[in-house]
Amino acid sequence: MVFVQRFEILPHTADVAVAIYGESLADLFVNAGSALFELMFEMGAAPVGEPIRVEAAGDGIEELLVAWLSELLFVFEVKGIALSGFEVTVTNGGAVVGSANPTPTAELVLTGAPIKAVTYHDLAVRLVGGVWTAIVVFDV
Amino acid sequence: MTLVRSSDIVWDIPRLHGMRVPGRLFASEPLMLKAREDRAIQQVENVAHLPGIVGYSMAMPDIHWGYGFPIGGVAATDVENGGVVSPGGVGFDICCGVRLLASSFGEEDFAGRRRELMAELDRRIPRGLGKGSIADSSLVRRTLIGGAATVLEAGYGRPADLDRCEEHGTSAGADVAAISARALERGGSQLGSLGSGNHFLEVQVVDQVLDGEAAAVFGLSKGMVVVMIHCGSRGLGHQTCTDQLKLMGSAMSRYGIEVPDRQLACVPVRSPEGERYLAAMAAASNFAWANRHVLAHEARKAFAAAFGVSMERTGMQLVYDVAHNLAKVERHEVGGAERLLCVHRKGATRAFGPGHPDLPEDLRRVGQPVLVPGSMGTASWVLRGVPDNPAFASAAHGAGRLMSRKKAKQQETGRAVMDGLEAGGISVRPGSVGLLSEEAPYAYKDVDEVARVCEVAGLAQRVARLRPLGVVKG
Repeated sequence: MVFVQRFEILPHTADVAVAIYGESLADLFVNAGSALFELMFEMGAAPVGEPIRVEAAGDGIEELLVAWLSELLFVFEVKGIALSGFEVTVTNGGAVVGSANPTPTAELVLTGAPIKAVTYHDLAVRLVGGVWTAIVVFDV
Repeated sequence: MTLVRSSDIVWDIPRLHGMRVPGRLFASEPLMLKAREDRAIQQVENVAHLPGIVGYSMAMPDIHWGYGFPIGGVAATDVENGGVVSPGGVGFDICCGVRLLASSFGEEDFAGRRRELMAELDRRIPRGLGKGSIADSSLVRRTLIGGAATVLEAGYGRPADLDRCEEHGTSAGADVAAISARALERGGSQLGSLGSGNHFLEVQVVDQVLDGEAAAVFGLSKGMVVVMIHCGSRGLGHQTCTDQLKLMGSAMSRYGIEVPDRQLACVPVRSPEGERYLAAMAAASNFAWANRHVLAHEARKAFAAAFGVSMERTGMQLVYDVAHNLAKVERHEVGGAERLLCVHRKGATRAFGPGHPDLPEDLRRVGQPVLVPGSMGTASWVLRGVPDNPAFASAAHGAGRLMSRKKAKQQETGRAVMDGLEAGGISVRPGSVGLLSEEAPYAYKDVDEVARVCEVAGLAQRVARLRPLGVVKG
């Protein structure tokens, strides 16, 4: 199966809602991380540094997705970096462990409102027709 | 969903499907248009499911689709009868709010120093992503208990400012231990910064006075240049809400609580988790009061430098500082009896009427100043609290969003929005030019209509209209 679309923006009046897709759970988490930063920055030509390790844990897939995105937001805000080139493993024990390439946000052009938090509103992760699909609303 | 129009500006949602109370919206037909298109009304209905809610699940005239609560949502729960507290009724930006400063300058003074003043503000007000902060990070931990008083002791602002802050700029009951190391790390370099999104510092002029007596008490007069600051608790508040939602989500089942939206996670106010949330919320609030206090001090310095006068000569007295994202334990009359309520205001402003004992003596005669900012390029309003407010002493908090960010960006570029504002005589110093279109005036409802409906609905009375002259945008 060739599945091209990684995420799409859904209607929301004040905040940013997205549908994220993945051929596997790991792919979903990769695309979720990519979506988070691509909603804010033009990441394409960004120079990257040495990969850093990122991990999160949560009870259940939805909680794990919120924990993963919240962890990325924490790293983004505290270290002043955006991440790309995700590689992740999702364990059966409710953890996601991965690496990603950092780029200082000062070197990037902001193209979307900075994301401040991951909400539980409309949160859903489902396997639909063989494609993992997540709905996430970000607070901006 | 059934929506019953009870009057020109009151819309009721009958109690159905697990709702514990009916819903009630205060809005005119034009303000209802968008709310009926999206899911804001559904969110009013969802909030009506909260255990212990009394009266109505309500929405202010600036209602729009949020997460959990609608923006503009007001809900009060009975603290002594199992009433809950929900972080979703406060939001991630705990104690986000608005501060208004008067000045001794008029519009002509501003015109003569426009370039210098905007340059000073541009240079001094940290905003946008990772652009630093004004105050030293060593103060952050202490502000969690002391709020605005802590930064006052450190040399920011004036003692008289505290009398003109809701809660005197310090929320009681804060507990540093309820704030995580991660929250402290996020907020560590952000004390005295606007942040991004819809946050701003605006130079405005009082262009209409509708209630001369109240305006005089507030220290406002027609033609006066004023400064409005809109921001909150920054990353510290966001992380605190994230931490508390996680704790509350897992605690809910122990109390047998089910809610229709996970963002409405809640626990009884009188529970260890509820008390811990309120202690964390108070600590994050104190950071927010301190944040706006530091920014106001820097605005005074900018005016002093631009006009070549001392800070005292700027006449920049604090009119008021009010939060619009908080849950507060207050006493209100319900069904003829006074009850202790946890009043959630998510994008709604507290609006105490005349005589309220929590108001400083000089404001008690006319009621609390209610600050309703508009969008860039449109007016903002100062209202005052009135007796017998039908929404647990609450009023609107802004214009209310009309258009999604994506749609707003498709309509015009950020540069075009900036050029349009500048051509209209409004100087703009954005954190990011490209993002200005997300916050363009056309993305918001008509703030004049919001203020009018507040008055007709008996939520608050119009005092003065403020027109923007210069915008420092987050």
